[in-house]
Amino acid sequence: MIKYEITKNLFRYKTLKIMSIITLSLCFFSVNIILSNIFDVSYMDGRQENRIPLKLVDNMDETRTLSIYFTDINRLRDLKLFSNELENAEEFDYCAFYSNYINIAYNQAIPQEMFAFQEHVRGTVYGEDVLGVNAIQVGKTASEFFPLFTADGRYFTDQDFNFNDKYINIILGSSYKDIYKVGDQTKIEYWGKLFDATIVGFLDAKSYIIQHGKSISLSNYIIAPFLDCGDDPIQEDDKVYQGISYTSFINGYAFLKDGYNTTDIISKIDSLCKIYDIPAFAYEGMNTISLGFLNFVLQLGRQELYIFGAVTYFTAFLSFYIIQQFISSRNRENYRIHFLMGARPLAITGYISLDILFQIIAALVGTTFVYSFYIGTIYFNVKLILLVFPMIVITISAVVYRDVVKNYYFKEKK
Amino acid sequence: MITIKHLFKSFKQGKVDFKVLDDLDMTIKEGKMTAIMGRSGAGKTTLLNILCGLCRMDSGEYYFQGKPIDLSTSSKADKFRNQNFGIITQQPSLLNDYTVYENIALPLEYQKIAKKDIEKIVTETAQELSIDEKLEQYPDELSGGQLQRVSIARALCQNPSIILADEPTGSLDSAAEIEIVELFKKLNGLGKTIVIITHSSFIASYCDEVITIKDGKAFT
Ligand SMILES: Nc1ncnc2c1ncn2[C@@H]1O[C@H](COP(=O)(O)OP(=O)(O)OP(=O)(O)O)[C@@H](O)[C@H]1O
Ligand SMILES: [Mg+2]
Repeated sequence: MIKYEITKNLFRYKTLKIMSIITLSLCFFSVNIILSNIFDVSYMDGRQENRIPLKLVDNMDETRTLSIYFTDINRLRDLKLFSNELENAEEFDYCAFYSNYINIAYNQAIPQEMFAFQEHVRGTVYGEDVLGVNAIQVGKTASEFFPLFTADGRYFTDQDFNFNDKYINIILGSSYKDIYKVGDQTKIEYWGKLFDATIVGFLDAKSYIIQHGKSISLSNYIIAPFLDCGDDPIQEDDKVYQGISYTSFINGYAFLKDGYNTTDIISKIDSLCKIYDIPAFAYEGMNTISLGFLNFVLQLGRQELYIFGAVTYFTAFLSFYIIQQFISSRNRENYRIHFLMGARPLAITGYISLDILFQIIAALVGTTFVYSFYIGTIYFNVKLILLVFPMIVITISAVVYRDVVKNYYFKEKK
Repeated sequence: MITIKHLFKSFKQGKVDFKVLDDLDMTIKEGKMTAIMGRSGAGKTTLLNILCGLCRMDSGEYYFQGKPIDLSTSSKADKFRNQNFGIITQQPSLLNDYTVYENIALPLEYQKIAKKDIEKIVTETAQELSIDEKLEQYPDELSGGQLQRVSIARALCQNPSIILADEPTGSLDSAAEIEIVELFKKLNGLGKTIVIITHSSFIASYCDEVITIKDGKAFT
């Protein structure tokens, strides 16, 4: 391959290429949104079939922002009031859902799969020898929306969500069955506070959650309730616990109620953020610029969503394919000259592949840019990459077949 | 230098086989300037494509410098062509977004010749063909005669033993035609074997040999 042919080739037929990049970006953007929704829908496991959730992600990553809530009692109270508003909103049903490790009293029978970290899993907290293990934290309504079935013992009752000084009830993933049984007690350090935990049940082995498009089995997880400890902490370690708990509580899912749309949720939450002085939220996998499109997507049922996604993907695929054929038919004369001047078929294949890859990468970068700019997270569903792959392979093979195989090995055809 | 015996070539046109070259025998002598003539559609371009391995014979024998040549695969044919032939096609095959310099250098780039050497070869050849002032221009800024000279320069750069030119003056006026044909004569004088396809008896008069293609056969 000749370097300057690669660059010259990239800048040939600019209009067609810009068209192809824009088409692809739109497709990637929509399909990505749809894919993340499809997975959130399947997450529901038939429980809330047609209610697609808006996923709320707080913007409190900075330790500085967080620490305010641990030290200033008024800010902590604001946070509590804010989460009450989420629970009682008339526009949507709120379901708090968070995933963060919990320290459990050291037990040598606990296998590696449960560990939350590769290194430094063991430590001492409040004089207890503990181990960091995988955990999720759920709000009262979680079982209405997610497939959290218990195989042994019982699921949480409303009382389990009330703060009861040093006592807490927890549910364990099915893999813990060999180590504990229902009714067993153990110490846990849950977000800075030491609790006496009672195991009230075990999850069904098939329970799972979906995070970033990947399904994660809950067999190796501890499920802990978000405790409602009222507005004012009594003890010093309660303060830290409440700080972490309430800042985590505002991460979760909002399910539209009848008669409202996504715009209503977002403007409601935005106005609450202003009232309680909380950093504005991000909505994972969602596009805040084209809320119209988002509303449309959210109103579709699971089946329609699949069809819409498939149609979008195949339309984009087809137009990309056709544009590439256009480009290649214009480029054919150039390639013929390269052949005549001694280019090997592999070199021409290289020019074609790099050209097509460039357009795909430009579209992916464009999509990422729009995503990160408007949504604040770079969030690519793995399935999208899997869909991009056949697109590249099929298009390159078709163009190479016409321009290299046919052009080269059957040169005499006019 | 080249001897062809019992060459058959036909093309499928619809369902019928259309015979273009039919038991053709011919010889091209080393160091000579040969004209190939014949009416349009006689098969001149086809013959030239076969000579340089761009097109396959249906059957026939091909001897190059006395040895039979195997052109059965595309890569063998490519190697043979790149080593021995400089080709000037019927329409000047130049890349429009390449400068004249880059166009002339193209075959040398594919031969992986060092940048410095390429520069030397290209500038020298361009001087020889008096297009050295045009090297930084693009093909669409050049006249027809100049374009043909760029094609010739590109063919010459490869330092081929044979130059095949398919109607190199087809689209030129008579002044430009004379210039080009004089140029070929000069190259011939420097020892290159030259084969020119032409309709013009004026050009043929410059050549040592004239081969006429008629009914798929060659006549001297
Ligand atoms: N790839 C092909 N497929 C089918 N027919 C072909 C092909 N190439 C050439 N022919 C036919 O073979 C015949 C000879 O073509 P060729 O190009 O060799 O003629 P030519 O003598 O060079 O004519 P001209 O003087 O017009 O350039 C023509 O009738 C042409 O239609
Ligand atoms: Mg011809």
